[in-house]
This record gives sequence, C-alpha cells and structure tokens, in this order.
Amino acid sequence: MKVIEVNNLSKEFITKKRITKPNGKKALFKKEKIIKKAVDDISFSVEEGEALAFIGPNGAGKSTTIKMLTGILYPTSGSIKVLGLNPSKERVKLSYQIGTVFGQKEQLWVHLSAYDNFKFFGSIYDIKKEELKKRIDNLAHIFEIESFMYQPVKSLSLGQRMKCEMVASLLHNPKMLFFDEPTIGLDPIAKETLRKLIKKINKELGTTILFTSHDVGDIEEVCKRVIIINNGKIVLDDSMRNLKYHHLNKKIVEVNLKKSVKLEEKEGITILKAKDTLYKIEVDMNKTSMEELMSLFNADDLQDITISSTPLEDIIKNIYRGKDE
Amino acid sequence: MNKYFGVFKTSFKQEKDTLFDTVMRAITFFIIMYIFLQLWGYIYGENGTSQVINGYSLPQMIWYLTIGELITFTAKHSQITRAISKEIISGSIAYKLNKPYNYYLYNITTFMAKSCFALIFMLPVAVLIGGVFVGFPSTFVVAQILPCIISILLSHLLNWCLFAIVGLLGFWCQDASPFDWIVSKFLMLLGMFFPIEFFPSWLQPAIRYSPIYSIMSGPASLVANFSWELFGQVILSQIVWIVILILIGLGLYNIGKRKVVSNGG
Repeated sequence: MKVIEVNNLSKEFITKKRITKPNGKKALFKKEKIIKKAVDDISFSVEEGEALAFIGPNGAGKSTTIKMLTGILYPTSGSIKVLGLNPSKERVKLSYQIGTVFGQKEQLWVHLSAYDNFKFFGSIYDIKKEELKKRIDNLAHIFEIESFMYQPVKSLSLGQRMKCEMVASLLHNPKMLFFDEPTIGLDPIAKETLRKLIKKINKELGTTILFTSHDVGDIEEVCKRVIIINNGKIVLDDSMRNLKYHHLNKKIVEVNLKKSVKLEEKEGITILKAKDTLYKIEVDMNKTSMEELMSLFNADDLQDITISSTPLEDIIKNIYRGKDE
Repeated sequence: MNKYFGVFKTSFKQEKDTLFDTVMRAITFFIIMYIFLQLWGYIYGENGTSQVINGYSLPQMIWYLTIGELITFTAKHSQITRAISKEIISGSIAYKLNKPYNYYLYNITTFMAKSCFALIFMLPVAVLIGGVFVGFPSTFVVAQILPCIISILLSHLLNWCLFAIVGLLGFWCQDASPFDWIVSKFLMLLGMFFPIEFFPSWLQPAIRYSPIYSIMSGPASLVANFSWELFGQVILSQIVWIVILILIGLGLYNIGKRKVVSNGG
C-alpha cells in the first residue's frame, strides 16, 4: 500500500530585490521579483513500512519537500497524498498520524524534564493518562532514557536530547516518521546508537521512515531505498544496494611514506595527488582490493594512512554529471 | 479543551524557571510606583486625601495608575509582538504548524499561563502599594475583587489579541517593532497614565470605544471607582474587542500562513 504519493510537486520561494538602474545605482522603490525554485516538478511514491533516504547537498530541496509532506509549507503546484490525506488541507488530521524529528530544531521545552515534555505531548495528542504512562515506560525502555528523563532537557547532551525528541515523536504511535537530519552534530557513538534505534522502529514497529541526511553512514545503515535530489530535481531513485555497487564503492586513501617512491596506477587504483612523500589515491573496491594497493609500496615505509569514503557531495555531483552526459 | 489545559500547565511550569526575573520585575514595579506615588502626592498637595481632580481622589488616582502599570508589567506586550514576528520572519513558525493544535489558541494559552504566573507575584505588590501607602478607594467593596480580577485577565487576553496582530505583520514586513512602539505608546499615553476623564471631551469618545479603554482605562477605573454598572460596561467592551481582534488576527493569520518561508533543515 502506498503511504506517500507525490506528483509533479514544485515549490517556489519569491524574494524581492531593488533593481539596479543603468547608472549603477539602486532604485529606491522599484523592486524585481526573484523566483527560486526549491523543488522542481518531482514525483515519487513510498510503500508502507519502507525506510527511504532522501538525500542531497545543502539547498537541494530535501527539507522543503519534507515540510510540504508534513503540511508545514504549501506547494506552489503539484499534488501530495500522505496516508491518503492532503497535507496542506488536512494538516491537523495528518499530524495525529505522523511524527517529525528535526535535527536542527528542538521541539522540547528545554527548562522542563523530558518526562514533563512527554506529558505535554500526551495532552496535545489527546492520549489518555494511563495509556500515556504505558507508552512512556515502553519507549523509555527501548530508547534507554530512564536514567535521565527526569532531568531538565537543557542539562542533557545532544545525543540524549535526540533520543528524547524521538520518544516524543513516537508517543502517539505515528504510522510515519519524518527525520530531517537527526544525526547532525552528534558524535560517532551517539550517531550509531540513533541509527540502530531508527532501524529498530522501522523493523519492530513497522513505522514507515523518511530520512534526510548528509551522512552516507546514516543512509547505508538505515535505508533500503535512496532518492537523491539536487537543485530541486530528483537525480536518482534507486535501491541502496545498487547505489552502493555503483557509487559508494570508491575509497580515498591518503598515505604518508618515509621516502618518496614512484607509485604506478593499476586497474581500479588512481593516483589523485602525489607531493613529496604524500599520496592521495582513489581505490575502486569493485575492481581491486586494499591488499593490491598495499602491494604498491613497502609496508615498512608507511608513516601514516587515512581511508575515507567519497564525500556524498562528490557522489551526487558524479551522478548528476552522469545524468547530464 | 484538555489539550489547551495541558499547554497551560506546561507553560506555567516552564515559567518557574523565570522566578528570579519575575521577582526583579516586581521590585522594579514597586520602585516605579513609589516614584509615581510621590509625584501625584505633590500634585494633589498637602490636603491630598480630600482633594479631587477630574472626579479622582488621590487614592483612586494611585489605584488607577497601579492597575495600569500592573497590566503593562505583566502583559509584556513587546514580547508578544517579538515572539510572533520572530517566528514568522525566521520561519520557525513552521515547526509549530505540524502539531495537532490551533496555532492561535496555543499561543493565547501559553501567554495566559505566563501572565497568570507574573500576576501571582505582581498583584500582591500592587495591593501593597495601594493599600499601605494610600489606602483603599472609598468605593471599595470586597465583592469587587473577583470582577476586577476577571477584568484584568480579560485585559491580558486583549493585550495578546492586539499585539499578536502587530506581530502577524511579520508576514508582510521584516520588522514589526515600529508598529509595536506606536501601539504601546498610544496605550501608555491615552490609557495607563491618565483616566479617560482627564482628556478633552472631544477625545473621550474615541478612547472609550477603542481597545485602549478595554485594555487599560476600563479595568483600571473599575478598581479605582467600582460599580456594577461600570463592570458591565467594561466587560461588554472587552468581550466585543476580543471577538473583533481575534477575527482580524485569524483573518491575517490565514492569509499569511500561505506565505510561510522556511528554508533548510
């Protein structure tokens, strides 16, 4: 069953700027309209129980799309159906069935404890007292927040706050959860914990998840399907498996050797930069292995090594370039 | 309504964190009122208690001013404008729109919780200033306490309705504070400082039928010069203005919310 259906969705933001006269001076009153297309004619659908990553660089239009899906922003054109409802016309009705977590915007009252916040959310979602208590206990156990949920939110770490944010957004048993960059600013351990919890919600509670992030790790761990958006347009809509095979297979290896050597390129190994004893190498894991790379130089000469994935921005650029070609 | 009772309770609880600020405001309120007390004492002269200016004796004048200042101190109208216009201009209003409540009712409820919290500290100070320094007005009856409190609470509600409209201008302009300044100065000059009887006769009807009367002059003169007839007049004007201002505000909000701009995550 489809829980989200988006057809030809567009959103324009209009700003006004004072026009510049031929003599170079700015006009006092006359303004010109500047139309920025944040989302440009996108269509997609999401099945019930799916975990979908919605990714793209800054300003790509992913948050704007989420805000339209949750009824916060009005689309300029196109149609949206979320759980059979039109978000901009049936916003309140929809809000009972969805949950939202915005990594860059707290929804908790910071001077109060997380527990008081849960009681507040219980009252706005019309949850009965006894039922609310059961749900808080259950979620507090799943999210392991029992030890700090009675402390004021302002005294919690970012990771603890995000856990509480997630509990607050799950109290009313939503059918869908929208996560907008929930791991932003978290340390690797907190990120990992949160990813596991999101996965758990999706698997155990069967909640449909729509997830935006800049972090490839988030997407790899949580989602089975990926939509990449850039300049307001969908660049790619594919399974995580395909994306991994075609685009997340390249690693960047930076090595610092004791002495300068002449490295030779092989299939799947590309020298991106070589300066004195520093080398930056791209390794295509579909074509070669790390062992093959290590055989290019003497291991005793190795002073330092760093291995990283290709940045998401570069992957998107590559995909986008590929589409253009 | 349970929902909004929950919002009221949470907001009231959160206000406990501002206890120190509220106590400091109460002290400032006391100091300002003490200065006004000296000023009006000088104007009324040595026979202050028997002297009457425009129908107001010194105790009535001080009670009028005390209630006017009390409403100004506890309603904190510039915060109403600032909070709403800031939410609109920054786009953070968007995050409140995805919850199952009415944005307008939610804000009224949180504001009334804050006002009630502030009143708990300020009202005793007001009673202390009036009761101890000049005594109660000659018209005072115990039965007027509840009607006066109702009128003061309605005045707070009206304050919110009026300044929320100013804040909603944030949908169309980048800074609503100049409008806030103008409206608050009108309230201060034509309502808080002087009773309506102190103004020229040609100006009095304009004040009487404006929100200034319902917010300031009405509740303040009700305390200073209570009668059941005046109570009926003040309450009626307050209810009429609440309905009018809520309708205007909701109209502006419904037009403006389509203009919500919220970029980024």
